[in-house]
Amino acid sequence: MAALLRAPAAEDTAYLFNLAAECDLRWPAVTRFGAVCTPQSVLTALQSAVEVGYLVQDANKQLVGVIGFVDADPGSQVMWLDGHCSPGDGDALVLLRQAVPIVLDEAERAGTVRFVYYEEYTELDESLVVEHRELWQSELVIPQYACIDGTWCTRVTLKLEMTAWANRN
Amino acid sequence: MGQSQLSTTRRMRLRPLTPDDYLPLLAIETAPEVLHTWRLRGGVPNDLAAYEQGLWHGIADQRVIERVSDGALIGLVQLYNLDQRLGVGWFSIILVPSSRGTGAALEGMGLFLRRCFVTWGLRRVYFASLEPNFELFASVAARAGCSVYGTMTDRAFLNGEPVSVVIGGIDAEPWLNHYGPMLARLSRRSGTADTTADTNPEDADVARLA
Repeated sequence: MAALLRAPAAEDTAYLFNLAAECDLRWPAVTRFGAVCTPQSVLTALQSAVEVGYLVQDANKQLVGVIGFVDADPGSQVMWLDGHCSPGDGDALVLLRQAVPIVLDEAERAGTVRFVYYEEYTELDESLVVEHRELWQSELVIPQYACIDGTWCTRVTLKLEMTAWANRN
Repeated sequence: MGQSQLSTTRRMRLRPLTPDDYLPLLAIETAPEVLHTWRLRGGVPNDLAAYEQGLWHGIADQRVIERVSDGALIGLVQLYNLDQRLGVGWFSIILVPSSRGTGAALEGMGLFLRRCFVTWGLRRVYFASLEPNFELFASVAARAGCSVYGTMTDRAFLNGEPVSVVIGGIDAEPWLNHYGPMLARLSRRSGTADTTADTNPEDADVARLA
């Protein structure tokens, strides 16, 4: 399997809406303000939060998820990696994890980012940050951040220094 | 009509913003020592209309802190990034320079936290503070039941230099059961933060460090 990335288009609205509803609290950029009301509200929320966003496809060009950067802070030269697929879809998770180095390379090429942050829930075992995990430093640990599917989850914020990414083996 | 017990102490009270507050608040928010650390992050509105337009952006609730004795505006407290499904929000406070270190911050914060927990029903309130600022009230924060979740090293820039940001939070239950009443006792007893006659060392520490 290999992940294929493409830019979202208007016809992807329904897919994004359904994915956001499935992910619910897992996807705070969309759900932070209870935005999952209509397909348009999802798009509006995404457009306001996303700096760079791609749809992830499998080899058959079936949509399996989204990945990108959100909440960019140009003044501080930081942004957050964010990506989502249907909860429980192991194949899609593998593809999203493959897409991580692709988007990080893009951020590195931009040359304007010092740090990329990533937020994961330790209890859910759905982290996208698997490859080169040693480069990501834990900076924040917030217990009982959210109750997702009946499980109180700890949110960990990881930080990747782009210089470390550029110098990885 | 009397003041709500949730919004006043003998010395400080919270009240809604009015248009008369905009000019003094703008002056506080654009003072050189806070300009790059408060929410405007160096972006000064051109006029009051522009300031008013952005005043509630991302803000769920905000109140002016006012001195009871003369009605002077002491500062502003805000609840932002509210997420009612998670039962959380983020808290910030800014004071006029002359009120820093007087205990006004502690009383204003205490009143507003009660409002967040009781009126809004939040289970937790988060805060973000530049590390140099946090060092000034870290002891008070610990005494007041704050948890520190970590430090985002070199997260931002201040005067061109990297600066770290401390992220913490206060949970409703311990606050309402212990720390909130403790602050209320302090306020009721003296009307000031001078608690030299206190026999409870915990209370005294909170007042002394405020």
